[in-house]
Amino acid sequence: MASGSGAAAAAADAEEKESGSRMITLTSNEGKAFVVTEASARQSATIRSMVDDGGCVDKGFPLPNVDSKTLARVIQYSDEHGNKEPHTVDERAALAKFDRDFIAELDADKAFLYDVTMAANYLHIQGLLALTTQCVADTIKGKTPEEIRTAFGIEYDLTAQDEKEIKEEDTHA
Amino acid sequence: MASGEDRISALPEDLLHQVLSLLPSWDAVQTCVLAKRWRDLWRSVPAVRVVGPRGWVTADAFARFVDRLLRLRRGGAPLDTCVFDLDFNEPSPGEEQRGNRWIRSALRYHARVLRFIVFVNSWNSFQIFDEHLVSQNLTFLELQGVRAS
Repeated sequence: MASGSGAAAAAADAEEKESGSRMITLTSNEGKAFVVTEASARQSATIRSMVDDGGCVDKGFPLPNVDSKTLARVIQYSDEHGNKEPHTVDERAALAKFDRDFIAELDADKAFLYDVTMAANYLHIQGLLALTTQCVADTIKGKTPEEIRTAFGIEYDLTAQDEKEIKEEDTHA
Repeated sequence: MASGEDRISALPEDLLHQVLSLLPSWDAVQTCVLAKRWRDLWRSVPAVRVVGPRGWVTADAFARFVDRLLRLRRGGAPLDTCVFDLDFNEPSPGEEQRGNRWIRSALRYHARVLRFIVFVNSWNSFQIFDEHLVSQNLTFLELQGVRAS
C-alpha cells in the first residue's frame, strides 16, 4: 500500500501546512538562526508569499537587511499575533495591552524604533508597521517644531532662504 | 528623551509620508520647518485631514489654510484619503462656494476616499453642487449635513 501511505503522508503534510504548524528558520544578517512557527512567519507578507510559492521552507529564509536584535523583537510581535488568535474579549484586551507595552519600549529608543520600522516595512508586516508609524506620528502630533526636533534628535539645517520661502508661502494665501 | 542620532529622518520618503498621512494636515504641514529633509514632505502626503473652523482663530484663517494646503500640493502626488470635518453656525454662500471648490480640488487630485462632513448649527444645511461629484477614482464617499442641488 505504498501509494496509500504516500497519499496519507501527503494529506498529513497538507494538513500540517493548513494548520501552520511547520517550523521555519529565519536567519539574521549576522547569521543567527531563529526558528519560528509558520503561523508566526506568515505575519510577514514577504515570507508568506515565498512559502506559498512553494518556496524553500526547509532551507529557511536569510534576511540580509535585518540584524539579530531587530529580528528578535520582530519575532516577539509575530509570535504574539500569529500563534494565537484572540477569540474572547479578554484575549483581545491582552493583545492590545501587548501592543501598547511593545510600542512603549520602542518609543523610548527612537533608533531601535527606526530599525523595527524598516524591518516591518521590508518584511511587510502590516500590523507592526501600522503600530510603529502611528508611534512616530504620535510624537509629532500637537508638538512644537522644537519639541519634535528634541524628540527625534533632528538637527536644524534650514537656510535663511528656506525660511524666507516658507514665510512667503504662508502669507501669500 | 532625545536618543542622540536622528534616525527617524532617515526613514524612506514613503514611510515618512505614511506617518504624516496619519496626522491632521495642520501637524503634517508644520513639519516643513523641522529641517531640510522635512521641508517638502507634506506636499505629497497621501492624505488631507482638516477640521475647522472650530479651534481656529478665525474662520477665514482656517479657510485660507485649506486653500493653501490644496493649492501647494505637489501635482502628481497620489492622494488617497481626503477628510473635511467642518462646522458652521450658518454657512454663508461664500463658505459654500469654498467648500465646493475643496471637493473639486480633492477629486482633481484623484482622491479615492472622500469624507465631507458638515455640522451646521441651524436648520440650514450646506449646499453642494453635485455635478462636482464626478470621479473615476473615488471608491468611498461620505457626505453628512449637506444637501445636493
